[in-house]
Amino acid sequence: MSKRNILIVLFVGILLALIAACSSATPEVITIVETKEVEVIKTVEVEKEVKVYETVEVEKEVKVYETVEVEKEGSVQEVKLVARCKASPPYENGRCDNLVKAVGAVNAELAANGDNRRVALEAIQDDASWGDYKTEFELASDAGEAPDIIVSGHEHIGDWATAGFLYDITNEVGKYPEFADVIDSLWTATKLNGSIWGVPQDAEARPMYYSKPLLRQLGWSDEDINNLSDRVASGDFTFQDMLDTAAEAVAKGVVEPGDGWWHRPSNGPDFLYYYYGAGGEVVDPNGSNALVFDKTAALKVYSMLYDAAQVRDIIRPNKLDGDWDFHKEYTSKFDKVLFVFEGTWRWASWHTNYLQDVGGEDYLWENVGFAPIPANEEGTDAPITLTHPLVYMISSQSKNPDLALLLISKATTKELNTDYAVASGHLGVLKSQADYPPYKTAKFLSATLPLLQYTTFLPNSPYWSSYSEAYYLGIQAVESGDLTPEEAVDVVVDQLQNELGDNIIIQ
Amino acid sequence: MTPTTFETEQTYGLRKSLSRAIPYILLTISILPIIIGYAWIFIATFSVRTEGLIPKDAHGNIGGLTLQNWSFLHNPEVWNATLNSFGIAVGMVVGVGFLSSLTGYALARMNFAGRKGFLGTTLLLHAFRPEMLLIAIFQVLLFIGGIPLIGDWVGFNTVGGVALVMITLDLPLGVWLMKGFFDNLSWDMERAALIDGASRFRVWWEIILPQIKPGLAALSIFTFITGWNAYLIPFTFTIGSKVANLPVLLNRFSGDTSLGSWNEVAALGLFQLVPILVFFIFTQEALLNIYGGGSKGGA
Amino acid sequence: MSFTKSPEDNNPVKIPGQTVNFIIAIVGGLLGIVAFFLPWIGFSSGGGLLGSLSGLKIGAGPVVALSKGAVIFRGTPTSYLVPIAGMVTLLVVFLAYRRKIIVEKDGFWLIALGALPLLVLLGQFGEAQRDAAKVGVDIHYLSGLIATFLALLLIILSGTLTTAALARQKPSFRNTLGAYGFMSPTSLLVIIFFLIPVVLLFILSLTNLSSANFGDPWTFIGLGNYRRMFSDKFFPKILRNTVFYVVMTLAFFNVGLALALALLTSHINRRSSFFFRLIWLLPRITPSVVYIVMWKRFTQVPPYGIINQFLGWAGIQHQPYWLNETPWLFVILVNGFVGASFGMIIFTSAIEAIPKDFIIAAKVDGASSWQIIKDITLPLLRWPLLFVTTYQTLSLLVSFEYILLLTEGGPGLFTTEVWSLTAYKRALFTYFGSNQWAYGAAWGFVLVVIGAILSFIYLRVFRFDDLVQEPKIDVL
Repeated sequence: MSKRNILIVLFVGILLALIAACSSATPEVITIVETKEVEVIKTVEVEKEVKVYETVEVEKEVKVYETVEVEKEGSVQEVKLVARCKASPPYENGRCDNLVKAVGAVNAELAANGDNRRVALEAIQDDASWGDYKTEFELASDAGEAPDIIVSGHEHIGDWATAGFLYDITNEVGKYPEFADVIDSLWTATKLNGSIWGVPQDAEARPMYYSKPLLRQLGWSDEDINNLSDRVASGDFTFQDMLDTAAEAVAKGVVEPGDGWWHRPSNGPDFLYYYYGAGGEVVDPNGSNALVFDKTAALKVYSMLYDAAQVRDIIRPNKLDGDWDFHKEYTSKFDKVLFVFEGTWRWASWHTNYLQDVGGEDYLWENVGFAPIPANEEGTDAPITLTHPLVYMISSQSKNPDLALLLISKATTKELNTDYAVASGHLGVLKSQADYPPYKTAKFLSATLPLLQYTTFLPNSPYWSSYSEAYYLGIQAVESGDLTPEEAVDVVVDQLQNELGDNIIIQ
Repeated sequence: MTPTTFETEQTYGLRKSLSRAIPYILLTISILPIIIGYAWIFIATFSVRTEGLIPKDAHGNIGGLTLQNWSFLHNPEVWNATLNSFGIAVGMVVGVGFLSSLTGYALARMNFAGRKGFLGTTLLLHAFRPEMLLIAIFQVLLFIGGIPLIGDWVGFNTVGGVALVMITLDLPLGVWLMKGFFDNLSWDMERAALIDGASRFRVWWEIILPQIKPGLAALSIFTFITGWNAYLIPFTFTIGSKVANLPVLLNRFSGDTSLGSWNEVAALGLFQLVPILVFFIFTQEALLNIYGGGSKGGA
Repeated sequence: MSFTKSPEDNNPVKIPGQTVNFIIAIVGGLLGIVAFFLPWIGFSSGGGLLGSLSGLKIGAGPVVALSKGAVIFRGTPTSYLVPIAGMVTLLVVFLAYRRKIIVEKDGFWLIALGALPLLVLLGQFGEAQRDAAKVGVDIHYLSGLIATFLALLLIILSGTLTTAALARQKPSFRNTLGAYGFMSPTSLLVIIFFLIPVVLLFILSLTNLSSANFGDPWTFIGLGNYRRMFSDKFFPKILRNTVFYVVMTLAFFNVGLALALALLTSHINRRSSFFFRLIWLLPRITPSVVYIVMWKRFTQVPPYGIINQFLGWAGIQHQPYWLNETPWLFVILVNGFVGASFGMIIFTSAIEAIPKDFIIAAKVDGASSWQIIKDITLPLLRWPLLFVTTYQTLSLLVSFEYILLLTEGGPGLFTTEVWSLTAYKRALFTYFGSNQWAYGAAWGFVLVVIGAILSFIYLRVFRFDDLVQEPKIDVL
């Protein structure tokens, strides 16, 4: 091959490359399958259509649904949105499915407003672990490939809004009437630095469950047992009373040592309400971004847990072993553990997985009661619980945040949200749901809804995760007896200062 | 024959069969925990609940057997995931096998600068876990992903990118093992072919590879296990788990928000185990050749 | 291939194909410069060639909008590298031409030089595109596509020509070339997806990258992460745990038991040995979630626990939660049962490979099984022993999955927490998911340095150089 030939090949190559590049970039005929509900007049728009498949479902009326393959052109513009949800199938699938169901309403409204855009939604839903899910969104955002809408725990706002991954909807929430129906207190969970970054999707409560048969064995009358819930709510039956009762049950042999009272076996939002209950604050009242660690409140929590695990045999010293499978099965029947701090979603998992052959949900109704977390006498002396709403958030990379928000608003209706709540055992997020019959007839939901009045939230802060890890470290240390409560407080303070530096205020 | 001799021979025979039996006894003791454990898993997948090794029904009596835990077999999603798992595993076996034997051959048969350095480095690279490198690999994928054309195939959030990363992470082990095999292959045939003027690549492809089949099979099983159980890389580097394989499904079932029960997890876990067992049974013979031998090998 | 040594051509200037390389380098250099200005002449567009320039939407933010849709380059900080690389290339080519410093290796240099601006350019596209996407702008890169084609074309063409030329010039080069050819796919992958990430990991450990600033450019904070790590109160405890864990598991299971199993299974008939090995492989191939729950069930309290059920049948009253009672025992057991199979397989195959005559000869001489093992088998297992020890030391140092699932580093305070688990927890695994990438990288990196030092020592002690068989190519 001579040099000249090579050069010729080279230039031909470049030319080809140019042509290839150009041709690939010319506007393509994008065909989108759209499901449209059209009153059929057979003469319409034949001149434009490429193909008409007709799935003609003739219903009673003369309405026909036809699936038309439309060539994309000026009059109607298809906008593709992507939503990403994590949900445990099948119960929680409503998280993304509700968005899908809302697409029709969105397009109808767009059409009514004379807007020529139409939404097509791609929903990606699976049940990854929260950590992996969160990492995935961060990587996707950094790569510029973030989904338009993401559903996640509200505490992620702390990181994501700070990192610039979220779209600020503060000024736009007011434009959508649907959002006025959202329970006011839930908006607290969507705020960071005075801005709103998301729309509540669900809520839940974390009650104290108690075993009626075990209380009975302890000598409680049926009346005492039935009153317990009210006594907790009024602050009459306190956290200390609960521990005493549990200790008594252990002493009398009603339950095994260490089975008087159980909390979750690994870190989670729950542990914060002990601290709140003991009078602790996390958010700086002076409005700085730093988090507050109140040594007195923490010491109260740690002492209480140390006593329960190390001194009084109420809870197992190794309860925090992360063994959920054992935890779920062991607590399910309420014949072994007297008091259990769990989430409202556990109710369904108990009766579907472990109690089918003993009566299912009826078994729980018969043997189990629930109440808010009892008041801490030494702290705020008020009953408490914590809710951890999931929120719809919009990516800052979304090209159509207005459409995304419109879509969210259409999914935030009592009909759709109630479907989801009933299926998943989560609480509703709308004021109108309280009187909405399908919601009211869901026995467990309406029974736990009042718990929301005692609710607290996690803080939205980029420092919360480190804070929580340190605080949890102290709990592990005192329950296992590795440290005394005083030592634990010192270790936690040390850890917090090492991890967070100026962003932690020790009180 | 005097009685004494007879007795001696008898004792000798006894001692011999005893010493024969010792390995069996020791080995049986060693596998006891595994046998008991897997027996429990097996029982658990067919029961509502178990106490120790005994399945129990609602009233604490022995019983409560059910097929409920295996109902996922009706779920098309599971079969789809099985297919995905299979695709990933086979892809890895082919990719790692091909590249490792290519490189292993060069390391065993050719002399070039950086040969020992390469061997030492690859061994050390093994100390970097994918979990550690996750974010750094992400940055690399991101850079590649930005390159037009190439990025569409092997960038972030592409199946190609995920495949390359997974293959690469398995290469160090593969290269070391393959080098060991090549070291122990006879040099005669190859030499003859080279003298006859065949190219190195042709020699490798037509003469060496057929001889190395047992080695490839041995490497395949390790790679297949890795690919079959892959979770982190395919999950993290694709958005919305484009490749939902069995481990991703399994992950759904366990964990604090999961609504499934442990017995289903165990059933799905056993299900995930079966293909590897089958694969192993077919490659067992080859696996024994993983170390080629010789006094001074190079595994 | 000729095996008679041909006289080397000592006139390097006459390498055929060299001129083409010059041209390519010049084209590459020019292109690097031109490509920088492409946007200004309307080449980066959102649609077809020139017609649909208006299709591009312009966003605010880091991407500076120019007229006619030229969005790229301006906003990206390293974009100036492109023309600089182009100029450097041209300069070097010019110098080389003037001074006629043209030796054999120039071909490669020129390829590299020609490709350099193009490669930087390619990176630029990605950067610009990401920035654009972050503010919601969609860009198609016509010029990017062209550049990619060109770069690939140039690199391949220039490479082929140079190597062909060199091979013609100098026959011995063929062998080296062949070796590099065989090595290149793996090397390329290992460099791109292994070595570069490792280097990045170190660089990362000097920044403060975390979930909260993930979208921003990296901020370097020097050795802050390392300081923080060494001032962690539990640092000594974690270090002690790690050493204990690695040494115990390695000695008793991954090497010790593995060797014992290999010896035992090779002294029984093939079918049975197959069965035992299959059983021993089970833990390795079982999904970790399932495997760990199995162990938890072993140790659980009555009525669930299997150990306690046996104890109950034996009439023993002491039935605690064994995992909590003796956490280390189970951490080591759990890992050991998985780890032993690797060594077992390597050792078994090594034993199988020992020539049968050795053993027969020894038997004829009346050696007992134990003597054969001691005097013949074990000495021959030196290399596999080194390999397994080194490999498994590194494996154990960085393994945490089973500990995470079994104890999460507990019970209590860092009782069974090992270094790699801490690194993982810092970087990736917190309940609320704030990933401290940089801090985790610091933990991970120090661990790897320790692993490197350890394997270096191993390799010295076992005389690695002696053990690596010399390649057979030298025979030719």
